[in-house]
Amino acid sequence: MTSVGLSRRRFLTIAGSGALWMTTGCRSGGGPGRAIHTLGSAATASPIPTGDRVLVLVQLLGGNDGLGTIVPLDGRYHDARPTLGLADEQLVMLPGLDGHGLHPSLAPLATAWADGDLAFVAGVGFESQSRSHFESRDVWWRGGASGTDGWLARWMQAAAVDRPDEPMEALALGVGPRALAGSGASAVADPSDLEWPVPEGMTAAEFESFLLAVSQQSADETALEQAARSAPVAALSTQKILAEIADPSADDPYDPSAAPGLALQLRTAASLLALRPGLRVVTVGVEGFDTHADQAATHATLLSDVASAVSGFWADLAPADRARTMVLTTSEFGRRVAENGSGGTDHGRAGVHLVLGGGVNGGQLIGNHGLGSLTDGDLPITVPAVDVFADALRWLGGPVREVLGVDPPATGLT
Amino acid sequence: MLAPVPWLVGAVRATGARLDARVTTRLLRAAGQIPLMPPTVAGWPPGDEWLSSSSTIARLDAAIEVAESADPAGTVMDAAERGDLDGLAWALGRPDGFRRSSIDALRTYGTTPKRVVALALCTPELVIA
Repeated sequence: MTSVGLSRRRFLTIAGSGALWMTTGCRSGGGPGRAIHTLGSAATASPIPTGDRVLVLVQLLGGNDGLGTIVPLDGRYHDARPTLGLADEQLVMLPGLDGHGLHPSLAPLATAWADGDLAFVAGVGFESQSRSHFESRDVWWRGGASGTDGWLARWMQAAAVDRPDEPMEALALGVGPRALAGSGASAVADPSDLEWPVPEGMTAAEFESFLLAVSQQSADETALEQAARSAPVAALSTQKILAEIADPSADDPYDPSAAPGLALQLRTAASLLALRPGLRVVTVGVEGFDTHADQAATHATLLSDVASAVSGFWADLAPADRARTMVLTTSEFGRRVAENGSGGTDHGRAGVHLVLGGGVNGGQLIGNHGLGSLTDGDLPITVPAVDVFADALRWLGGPVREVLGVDPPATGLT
Repeated sequence: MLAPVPWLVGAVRATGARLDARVTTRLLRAAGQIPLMPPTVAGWPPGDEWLSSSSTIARLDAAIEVAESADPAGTVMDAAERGDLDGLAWALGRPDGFRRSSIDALRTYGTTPKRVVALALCTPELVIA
């Protein structure tokens, strides 16, 4: 384990850093925001410095069904999905998405597509993934490489992401923080449940002083020991930053009770992006995409949650933050082409992902499902996931080869 | 690195605390480790995942709860009442004692025996196996 993330923590700056927290409060309300955003999307005019760019990784754990997400207008799909197959007239048709239609639950994403901010990529996977959730999640978290650190942790180390004024350069929200494992990034399972305990009879300030005193590092300890020693103060810092956005008096309050799951996580991310210009990576994650049975209703709800959370996140961002943000979905595998006997689908291979961002070549589908070239009844990998990750890393400013071990050609997403 | 379950079991056994089952479940759920419910068939992840902000806050919460219900006649409370920090460390399963910085902080902020126990359970030494 490297100690980049550990030495990076500057706890003592937290208490006095209020002045650094730029509360722009610039929410996209409507017309003017969109007009500015259109200019911002034409990034050639004034490119966003790579050091200001943000990646938001949205992990759909369980294995999202790609064929049911971007539905091919193809008889072979209906042959394989006699009960689950969505009729053409149910689908959301988008200009430029030739030969395919969106699952009806994804209708809220049509605006971002029309604005040129949203692209889809089909046939995505790692050759080394398997049909095991555990193995494949591990492959995706490590970006296809070996070792214990997540691919985004390796990027933070390789790019030496280290802003002296920023205690939160990366944050893992929700389920599945391992893409950032090894970075020292904060990890919060539920941003609405971070109440800070204090022993009876002590003030919060006294307890904080105690935790600071016992967290002092010593050189004779291992990196893990040092991490254990600094964990309470790091948690305190994270809790304070999240409390800032939960504060009703802040510019951009959110109501944790109103938006569960992915929506809450992405809403938290949107608020943090507005407050913390030094935040570079946010991962969010939800379970539930393992639709072995009764997929029709379950998948409709899941995709509806994704579409409303992602489009809500995009609408929450100020135009300038949209221009510097990229959203990328991941999932450990796609699902089998043929439906099973329980009205669901089983673990498959290649999947479909969305890429949303001010710097994305939107309005296009990259790659294809490969329905004509199935392997053992599975969709083939037509776009290596590492190529998509490389695009994201290039957009963040690189390096690519140092992180992923390869430097593949661009897919055209950015 | 102690995972939440062994950490809590150790703390409860050492202090003789009597925690309500619902409290125990709440604390372990918040810490991210519910017994017999690992995230995958391979079990619990190794390493630093227990250092997440959520898990850390849950552990501090649990430390305070355990100290609140510690057995007043037990060796842990007895050592705390006598101000014997070496004895307290030993009773908490840390025979090497606390580090210098922790001893100083426990003397400064541990103004009652119960608070000494709560703060001792919050020291990083007790997470590092």
